[in-house]
Amino acid sequence: MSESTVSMGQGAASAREGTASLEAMLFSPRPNGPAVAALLAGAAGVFVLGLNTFLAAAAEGVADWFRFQDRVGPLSGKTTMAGVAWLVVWALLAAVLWRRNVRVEWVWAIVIVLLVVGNLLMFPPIYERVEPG
Amino acid sequence: MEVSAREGWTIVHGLMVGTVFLVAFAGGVAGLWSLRMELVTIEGIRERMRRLYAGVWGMAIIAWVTVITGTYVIYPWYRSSPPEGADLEQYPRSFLLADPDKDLWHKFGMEWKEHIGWAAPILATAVAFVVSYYGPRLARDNKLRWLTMVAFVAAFAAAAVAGVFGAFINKAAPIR
Repeated sequence: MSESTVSMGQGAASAREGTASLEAMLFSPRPNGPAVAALLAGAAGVFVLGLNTFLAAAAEGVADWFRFQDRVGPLSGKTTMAGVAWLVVWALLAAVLWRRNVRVEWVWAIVIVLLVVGNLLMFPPIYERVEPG
Repeated sequence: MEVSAREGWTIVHGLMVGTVFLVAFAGGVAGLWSLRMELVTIEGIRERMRRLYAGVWGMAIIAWVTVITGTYVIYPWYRSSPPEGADLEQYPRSFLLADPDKDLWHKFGMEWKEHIGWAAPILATAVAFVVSYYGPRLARDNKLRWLTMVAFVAAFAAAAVAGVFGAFINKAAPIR
């Protein structure tokens, strides 16, 4: 066997080792809980935004409470409180799911329901039906 | 040619930021779509993760900039109440509501846009976190990768509704 053949064989082996270590690094095990927590919390934030919109349309007292800034009106409170709810839910879910693996099928179902209902609640033809007067 | 400060803000909010948003979305969704073991090598995954991080975080940051400038800078000009006898063209909301042929731009378009737009940064941030935390592992977890893509596309769809209505409303009743 010539020297160059030996050297090529060593090069290929070293490349394989490099790929294997890169693969081990890229795919080191990690629980999916924190990722799931982020997606669930995002969908919950959208749901709360829709709920706030719907409640503010249904009751003037709620709309007034959401008037955090006069220049912006109730939109300031509706969005701020949706943001707060999103972050609180995220923190709680992350704490609970941090080291866990979760079945993603369930997460799919919950995320889709929250997104659809949240969007329906903030769709004007729907919340206008409960507006007083 | 003259651009007022208010028109300048609407250009930044809608046109400039919107363009970057589209680029970031395209990069993010292409990266998520092709992040599959059967399509790329190990080295390829590492290489495209950088673009994916840039796409998803870029979209999240841009979405936050857009909703915050839209809600706290431009929207107050849109909704301000006109004094008695004022020229309504300077008060877009009142201008639209005063015309039965145009009031739906506010009652439907603006009312939907001002709320749904906020879904975009929330969902885009969630996606950016998932991609950063789970990283290349998404290539081996198709269910989670698809759910991440759904959230990312939902963020884009929310921004698209807000953007399209914003453009039409600004055409019907420009902020000057």
